[in-house]
Formats: sequence, C-alpha cells, structure tokens
Amino acid sequence: MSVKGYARARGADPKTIRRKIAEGVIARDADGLIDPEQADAAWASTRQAPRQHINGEAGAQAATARIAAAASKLRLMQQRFEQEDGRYTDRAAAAIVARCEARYALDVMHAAPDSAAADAFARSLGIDTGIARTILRKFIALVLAEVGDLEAQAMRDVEMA
Amino acid sequence: MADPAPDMLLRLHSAANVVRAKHTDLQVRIRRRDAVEITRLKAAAVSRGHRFRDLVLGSPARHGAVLAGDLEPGAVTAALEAFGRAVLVEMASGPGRLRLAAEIARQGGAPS
Repeated sequence: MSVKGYARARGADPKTIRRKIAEGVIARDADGLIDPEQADAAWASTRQAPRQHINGEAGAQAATARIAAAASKLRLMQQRFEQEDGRYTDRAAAAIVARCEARYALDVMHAAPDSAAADAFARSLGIDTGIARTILRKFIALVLAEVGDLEAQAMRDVEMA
Repeated sequence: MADPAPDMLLRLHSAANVVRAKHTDLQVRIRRRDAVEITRLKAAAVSRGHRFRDLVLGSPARHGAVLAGDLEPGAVTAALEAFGRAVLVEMASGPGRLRLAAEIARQGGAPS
C-alpha cells in the first residue's frame, strides 16, 4: 500500500506514517510501498485507544489500560485532596466556637458559688452556706480578674492560628 | 456497539478537573486566611485551657489567706483548691459546652 493508502486505512495522518518510516518502525519495500502486515505488527498495535475500532484487540487493551490509569490517578487525587481538606476548617466558624466556649467557661465560673461545689466548700469548713457563697464570689471575682478577657484571648488565638 | 472508552476517559478527566478545582479553591481559602489548620486551633485552645486551669488552681494559694478572714487560712486555701478543681471538672465535662458551640456555629452567629 502507498503511504497515503495505509494512513487512510488506519485512520492516521500520513505525516505520522512518514515519521514512523523515518524512525525505522515501518518499512517500505523497493517500490516505496508499505506492507500492511509489517506496519500493523510494528506500529499499529501501539497506537492510542481512540483508534480501537481500527486496531482491534491491541487498541482495546490500550484503551482499558488508559482508563485504568486515569481512574487510579483520579482516586489518588481525590484521596490527597480529602486528606488536605480534612486538615482545615472555616476560620469564621472556629471563631464562633471559640467565643462560645469562652462564654461557657465564664458562665460556669459565675454560677459556681451557687453550685453543689459551693455546698461542699461550706461543709468542709463547717460554715454557713451564705458565708461560703460570699467567700466564693470574692474568690471567683479575683480569679476572673486574673484571667482577663477570655473571649478576646480566644478570638486572638483563632485569628493568629 | 459504540466504543465506550472515549466517553469513560472524558468522564474521568472531567472528574479530575473537578478535584483540581476544589484543591485550588482550598488553596485560595488558605491564602485568604478563611481556612485555618485544625491542629493549630487545637494547640491554641489547649494552651489557653492550661493557662486558665493554672490560674484557677493557683489562685487559692494567692488569695486564700485574705479571703479566710476569721477562718483558718490553711483550711480555707485547701477548701478553695478543692472547689476550684470541682469547678474545672464540671467545666470540662459539661455536656452543654459542645452542644452550645455546635448550635451557635449552625446559626452562624454569636449568642446575645
């Protein structure tokens, strides 16, 4: 077959056939013609999957391999993205949670003089519950003065993280 | 029968482009500081919690004698230490903490 004839039969660009001839992959006989069997054995079997319908089983195998490779690559990409995405959270949402936790801690502290722990404090000292609560309110006030603005600290930590 | 390979490859390449776009979006959010690393948040929260705990547990020694008044200072300090520990235990195990935080985050705003 001529170069053009072979190229047409295999759905290829004649330039590609000529390149393969220059590379020594496809041979030409003394008349400059291509032996289709030689050309198919040497080159057509390695062609890409889109030409499967021309190249039969070899093309089908190539297509299957390309699909498997693309699927594996996609799985790896997805896995890597999910791992990285899982390392992060929304900063604005984190700020809300941090502020909320700070307020919760402060609420517990403010409520502590009226809690069961206050009753235990009174019993351990053998004092009146009212006196105990007065001592504990002063204690809590001193602690909170030392703690400072817990909400602001929490927000700063989120901003700096 | 039509060759399914080109369609399958196209679908896989499209799916890969979607993942690439998501990755790029994440990088943009990180650079804009809209996304924050969870490990850094946790480290800061733990550090803040330890500071708070140390203040609560150390305060009785600093203020017990003054708060004792006519009571025995040592006994008041010890009682305040036990009280402080009980308050911290309640704070750490309170079921309301995480529930409230989740609720506020869902509402997308801070509580009044």
